[in-house]
Amino acid sequence: MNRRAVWTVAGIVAIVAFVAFGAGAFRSNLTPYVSFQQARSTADAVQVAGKLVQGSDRFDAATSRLMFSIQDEHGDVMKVAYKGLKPGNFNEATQVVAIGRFHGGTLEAEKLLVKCPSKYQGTEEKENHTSSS
Amino acid sequence: MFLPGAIAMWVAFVALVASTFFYVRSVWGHQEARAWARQLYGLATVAVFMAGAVLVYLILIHDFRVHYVFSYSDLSLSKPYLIATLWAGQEGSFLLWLMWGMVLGLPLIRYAKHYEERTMVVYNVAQLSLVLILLKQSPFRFISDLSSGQVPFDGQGLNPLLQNPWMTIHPPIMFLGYAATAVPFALAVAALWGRRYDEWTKAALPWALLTVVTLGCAILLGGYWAYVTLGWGGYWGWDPVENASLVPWIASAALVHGMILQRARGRFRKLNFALAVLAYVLVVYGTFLTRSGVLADFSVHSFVDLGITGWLVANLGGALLIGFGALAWRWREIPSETGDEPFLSRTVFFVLAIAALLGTAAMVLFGTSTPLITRLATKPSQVGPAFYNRVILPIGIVLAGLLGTVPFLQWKGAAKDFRNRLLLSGTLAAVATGIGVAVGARGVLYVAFLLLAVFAFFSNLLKTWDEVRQGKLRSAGGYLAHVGLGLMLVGIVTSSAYDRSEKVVLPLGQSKQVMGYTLTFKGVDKPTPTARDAMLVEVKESGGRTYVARPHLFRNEKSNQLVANPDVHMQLTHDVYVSPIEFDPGHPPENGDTLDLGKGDTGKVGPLAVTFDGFDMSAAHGDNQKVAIGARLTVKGPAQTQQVTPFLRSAGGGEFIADPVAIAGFKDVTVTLNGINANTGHVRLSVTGFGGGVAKSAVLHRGETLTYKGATLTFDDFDLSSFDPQAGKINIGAVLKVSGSGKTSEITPFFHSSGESGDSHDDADFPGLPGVKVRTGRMDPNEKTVEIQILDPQAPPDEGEPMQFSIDLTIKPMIGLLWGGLVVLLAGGIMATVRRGEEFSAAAVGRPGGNA
Repeated sequence: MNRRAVWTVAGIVAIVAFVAFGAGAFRSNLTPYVSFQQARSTADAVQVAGKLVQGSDRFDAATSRLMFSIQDEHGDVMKVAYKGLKPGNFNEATQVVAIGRFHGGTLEAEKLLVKCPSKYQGTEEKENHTSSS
Repeated sequence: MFLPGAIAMWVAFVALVASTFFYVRSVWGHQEARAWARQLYGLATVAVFMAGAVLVYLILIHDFRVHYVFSYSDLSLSKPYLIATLWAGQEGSFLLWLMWGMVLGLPLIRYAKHYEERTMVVYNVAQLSLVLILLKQSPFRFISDLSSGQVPFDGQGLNPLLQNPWMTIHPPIMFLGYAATAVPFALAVAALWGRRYDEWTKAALPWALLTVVTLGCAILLGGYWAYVTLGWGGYWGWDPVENASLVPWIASAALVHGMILQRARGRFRKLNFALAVLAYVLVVYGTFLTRSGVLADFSVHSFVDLGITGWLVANLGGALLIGFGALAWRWREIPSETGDEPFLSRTVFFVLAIAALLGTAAMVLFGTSTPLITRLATKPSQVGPAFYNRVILPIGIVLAGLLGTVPFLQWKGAAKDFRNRLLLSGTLAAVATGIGVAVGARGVLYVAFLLLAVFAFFSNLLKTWDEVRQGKLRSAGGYLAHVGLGLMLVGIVTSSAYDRSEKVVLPLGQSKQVMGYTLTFKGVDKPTPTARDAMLVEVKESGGRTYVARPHLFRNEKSNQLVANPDVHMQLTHDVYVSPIEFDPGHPPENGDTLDLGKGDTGKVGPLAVTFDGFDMSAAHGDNQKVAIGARLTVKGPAQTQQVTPFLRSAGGGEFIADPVAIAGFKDVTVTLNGINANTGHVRLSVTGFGGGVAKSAVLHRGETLTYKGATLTFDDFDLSSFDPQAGKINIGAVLKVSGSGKTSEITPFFHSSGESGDSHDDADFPGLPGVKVRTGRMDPNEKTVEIQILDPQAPPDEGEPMQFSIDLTIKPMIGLLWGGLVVLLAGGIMATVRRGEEFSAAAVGRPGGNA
């Protein structure tokens, strides 16, 4: 009976600790969808979506960033800087979602999602973010 | 609706329902019903394959009336890709899944022995859930606005990113893995139903192993595909579609270990029932997540609602109900004992391992479902890869530690040679890790993980060796699989934690040093007109060895999509990964002018007026291939007028050479005949050598300014006084106010175009700066902008810009271990599957006379 009790307690402690750890990691990595205004006013990582401003994309060799602007449905424009590779169907995208933090007038994007005209894309599609370790 | 295909699906549906009915009757004691049930199942299988064959046929003959064929294929696809189209879209992939499911059911009927009737009832229901989706959204439906005579002559084609050999391999294996999870599920429910709680694990184990092997293989093939094709340098992105396959795989791995545990110790029945149900439920849930559109805003796979969400939810509910319902029904009846094994025993370690695996699965599942969960509570959000990486690391360490210790434990306690073996393995691991640290491994957690992963590798290797030495090759499968797993874990840590990456811009011909490599962009290689543009980058290592990397960066003509493929140079200790970022074709030096003139037209270049008088055909009918055509020009300068005739001559082989002609009175100025348009009678001349080109230019809206050498030009408005497109007169001027050194004036450079007589610029003089001209460049009537160019002969001539290729160079250490480890894992897994399959076939599982 003692051994069982020890096991049970140890098990519960382990599970609780793990869940707590996971919850902490979870909360600090949560990126909610927000409006441009909200993105500007917070230092947290967020997600914003908008239509790509055609012609605004260029590669800034000095900072090694893909720079472009997106516009939301209210006409608000936000500058985005992305340190990964330009997604393949970037210019044809109907919508671009950028995930990152707003800093110094630009959204520093860690990840980009490019939405194309709808089509079930099968099991492989382009991954558009920098690998993190 | 294409009838033959639709009929095949309906036949399959009816036959499966009937088969289920007869199997139920057989469970209730009517033995003769079993034969009917089996034959109907066979009929259903044939019908499903007929449907598949019909769809492939429709794709191959390019019947674009059919919505599926139109949406995912086109005339330009080669045969292998046309066949791959079968699973490129939603309906087709469900059909493939169903085909595999039916196929797996055939040996299952023979194999399940006593469990057959109940198992097949459940298994048929699982297949029916797919058939129902296919009936609701038929792959054979015609496009919606089809009216007779309106058949599209070409399809939309396969996404260029899927036009890759891996597309013919990865999905079929993946769907085989999905289909295989239904077997342990069906066997588990059958066992609960029939109250035989023990032998089902023997029956189900080989199938669960099949799932682990095929799903694992498919998942990692997908990663390899992404790695060598997509260019972002990784093989796993924690994207919902990836996770949707990973979670059931982990659950299946837990199930395999749980069943082995039950067989060895006769306990943990409830756990295994739960795991078998869970693995299948997770597959259904993953399908729901990825195909219902709930993650549309959160995944690069961009799923939108495909019209079957209701069915997917129903499937999920059904699976939960049947699976956990059966478990709840028999819960109290299932024998349950407690054990007394010491801590250092395989039993305990297996339990810990299962717990760790389930913990991982739970975390990944939760993270993937975040958008769904947060949508219910607050704003929809997601978690990024950082979450998964952070959580996985500690669990990974624990699992690696368990992996390394377990081979020398027996079910009831440690083996006799436990301490020796562990010491040996531990020492080897410490040495290897020490070497790793010496060459640069850093980070406490990473080094700990490395140590334990290498420890796992050595332990299992030693154990495999022990087994082989004792002649027990067949039972070495599991250990060998773990050897592979150890290798993979090492490869994952080293290539992710210790990779180095830098972006570099490579102008043509210029070598640059990056991270110990010398890179030179050599140009673009396009060996045939249809080949994809390859950028040639010469890579020289610090040791002196050189190779040419050929990453691709090209535009797919059909979709106008820019596609990039990396070049991966795989070596023993690391991969050199060259990924294209951007290509800038640059432009040739601009220090002159191009004129497009018809007969009698005059164009102005700087101070010269060039009139095209006519062709000089005197040498036009030369011998063989050598013809030369000249353009007779009158060149009027400020001081003199002259006649010159530049020629364009053929040099054989389709090549033309233009000979520049000098202009007297102007040093270095030449006129060259670049091209002839025989239809319009126009010639294209370039006048070069004026030195100074565009010193400055800007695109201005009305009211905007451009400053040059102290004077400011303001773009006032357009001068459209002689702009009459109806009469063919296009003369547009830009009215500019110039203010500088206290004085203001107004100038109006003009642009003339009158159709046949070509374009010319009427440049204005820049007030106060002799020799400097102001010219209008590109004009945009929509935006109401004009490009103003300042031409200054004293400005240095435009050198042009060279071609530039920007890349991302990444060094990934030891990533070969990941792929090599995968091969070893698969080999071990297959060995284990075969072994367990034979064990069950040989086992006597009694079939009592009546129902049980």
